[in-house]
Amino acid sequence: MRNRLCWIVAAAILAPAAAMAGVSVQASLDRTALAMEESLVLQVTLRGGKGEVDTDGISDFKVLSRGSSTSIRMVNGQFSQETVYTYALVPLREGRLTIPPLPVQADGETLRTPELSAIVTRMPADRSRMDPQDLFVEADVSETAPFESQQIRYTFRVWQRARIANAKFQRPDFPGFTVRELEERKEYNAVSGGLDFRVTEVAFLLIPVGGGKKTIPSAVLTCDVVRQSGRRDSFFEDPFFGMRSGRLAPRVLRTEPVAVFVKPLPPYTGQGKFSGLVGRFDIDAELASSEVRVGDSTTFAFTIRGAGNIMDAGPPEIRLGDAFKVYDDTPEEEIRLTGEGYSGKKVFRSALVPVAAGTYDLGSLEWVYFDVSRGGYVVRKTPAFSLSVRPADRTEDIRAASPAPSPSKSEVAFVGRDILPLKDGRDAVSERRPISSALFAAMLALPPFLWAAARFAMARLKKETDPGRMMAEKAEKAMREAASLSPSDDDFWGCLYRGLVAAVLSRTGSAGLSLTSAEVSGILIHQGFTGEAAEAAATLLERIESARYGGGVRDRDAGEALLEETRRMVRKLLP
Amino acid sequence: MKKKMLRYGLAAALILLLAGSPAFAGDDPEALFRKGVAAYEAGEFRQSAQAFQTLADRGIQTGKLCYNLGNAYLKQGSLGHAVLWYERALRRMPHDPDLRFNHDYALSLTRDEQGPEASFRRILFFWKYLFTPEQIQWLSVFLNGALWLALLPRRGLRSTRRKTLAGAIFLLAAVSVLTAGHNAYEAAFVKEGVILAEEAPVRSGLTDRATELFRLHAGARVRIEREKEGYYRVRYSEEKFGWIERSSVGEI
Repeated sequence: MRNRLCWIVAAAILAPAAAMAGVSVQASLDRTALAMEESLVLQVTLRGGKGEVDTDGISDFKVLSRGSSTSIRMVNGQFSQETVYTYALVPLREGRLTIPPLPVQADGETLRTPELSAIVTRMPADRSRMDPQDLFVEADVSETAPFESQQIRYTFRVWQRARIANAKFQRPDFPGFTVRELEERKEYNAVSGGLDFRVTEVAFLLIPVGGGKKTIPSAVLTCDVVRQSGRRDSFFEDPFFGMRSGRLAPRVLRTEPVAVFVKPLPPYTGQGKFSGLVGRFDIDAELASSEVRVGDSTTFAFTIRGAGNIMDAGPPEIRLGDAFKVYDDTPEEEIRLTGEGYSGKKVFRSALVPVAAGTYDLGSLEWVYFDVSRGGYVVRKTPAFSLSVRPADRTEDIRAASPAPSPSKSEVAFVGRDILPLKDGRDAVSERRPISSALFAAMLALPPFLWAAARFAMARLKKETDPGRMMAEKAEKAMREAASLSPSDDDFWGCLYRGLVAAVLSRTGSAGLSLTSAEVSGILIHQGFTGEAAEAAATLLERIESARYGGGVRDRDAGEALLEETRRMVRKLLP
Repeated sequence: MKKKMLRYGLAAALILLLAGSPAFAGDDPEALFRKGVAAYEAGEFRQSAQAFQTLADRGIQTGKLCYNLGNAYLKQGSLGHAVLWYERALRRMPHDPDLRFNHDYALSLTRDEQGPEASFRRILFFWKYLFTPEQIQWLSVFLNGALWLALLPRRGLRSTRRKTLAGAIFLLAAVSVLTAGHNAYEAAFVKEGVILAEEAPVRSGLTDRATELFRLHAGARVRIEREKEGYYRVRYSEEKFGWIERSSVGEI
């Protein structure tokens, strides 16, 4: 079981490598003769790897990618990878159309497909089997001569009696319009030429930008028509199986281009200011109270409602002079996108705060828009308003002195939209250079170097101040001096003594000048030496002391023998 | 005659030398900056943007200058350029409140719905977005120094407290160095751009005859994957990518 798993894993890892061993490319068409209303399927097959097909060279067809599929097979123990790129080609003209060799980038090399060609005729070859009245498309606009900025509706419809599959709709470009697809796609039944059809409708909202003639190019629908067989001879003639066994006929359907003549808005010569809105609108205005005190506020609400480019509506111009302060609130919008375009209402509210007492005639407000149904400018007027302003209440001062009731809290909302100001200052033009990668790497590498240097210096310093180390050096020095002296010399024995004592003390890491033989024995046992070795060192010390102070034998041979013995002991004791 | 020619030659050389110097080439940076600010305050946004752009073209691209360029372009009505310069400013001063406010405002004017940012990544690698790349570099240098300092005493790591401290410094230093490395990789190999044109088609190939796949509008942010024959291969989202004319995109 484990072996089998290993084989599977190895196969999965090695498959891509094995598959890339040899790369080849092929191309094929599903047929070589078709009509203008039909489409071809081009398949580019890349064996032994994955690549990228450049279809830019195809100029006689419109190319629609239908995706790619990859498969890996194992035949006779060899893995092979195959990637198939599929494209739908819609002919752009009649005649013998050519698909030139297409470059395919794979594995660092450029392969080329063979040249292919197809004959495109006006009528389908098997027209008799496909009734054109079973399936057709159309497109129209709700208004062929709209005004600039007027909303119009572009509708694309598919009329079908035949069953279709794999439908793909390519919307046209709408040059000279701003476009918004209307969400709902309708489906309904309708009668045309005495026949029942199923109709699918796709709609777009268009708003012309600028005047003049504008042509909306064809919308294209590519699909496969499910061919109905006249008789069902066998079980496999069932449409369900027919779809699987290639009984689909590809079709390409185009609408006629739609011409729209956009009329520019006539110049506005009336009084007041044109609001810029085009459509059908109404206005309303309301003053919250007609009587206020100086310093108090009253709200003036101005409402625009209707259909058209209402989202572009701006606040009205309220001219009240110096007697009032005006504070605009955030406009309230209720705008919907319906099948006929944008409609709804926009409410502008302003707080009016009088600064002086008196009676003010605010007059009426004029507002101008372009009415598309009338084809001219329309001036709307609000009713005239008057406002009586009384002097501020004297009790206000008293109220200010007494604890004020806590005001009701509300969310602070933006009342205007703008950006914050420029940034000034000299540092705006004094650029600090960023750290380069090399400098950054050097700055990272510096601390380890400094660390190593510091550790080295510390080790050297420690070596110089360590008592154990100092005693070891002292022992070696004493032994060297002893070697240079004669046993008849008193210093010779003193050197042997100092050397042995210093060697013993170097084990403890402490400084000192003299030790007794008992201390030597005790120290060495404590330091982990055997009793025998400790005893030998203690005995040696006693013999040196005896020779040094007891006036024992000091002949040359005995002295040199003791020197050699002491030297061996010192070597043994030094750490 | 020879002396006269020598004098003319010296004069010509001096003129050439002066002409090449920055003072002779035009306004000095501070004067040009003040000119841009004055033009902005006078409502001359085009002149303001030109002055700031001249400075930027000279290689001066501080956060403040990028911010001011974003403002000038936005006031001028060039949304794509405004978003581009705000994005550049964000790389230099990511926490500036004015910049974030104006950038949000500019983004609210764009037409394409940008997919959700990788918020999970932002939470997981929060420090990367908390500091600028330069700050991350300095932080790495500082933490690296602190780490080696903590390792210096021979008996420094014998106590548990010191071991914990050194471990924590090591962890922080490793994270900051890796982040600095990732930032350097991103700066070298990961390119992002902003759509400058009001509306730009993204196509299936490198010609204007290639099939139009979708359209992007000014201010939309894209990842630039490749460049070939005057076109960028851009990716807008996981499934939306294609070729777009190079002039329609500004590299951040």
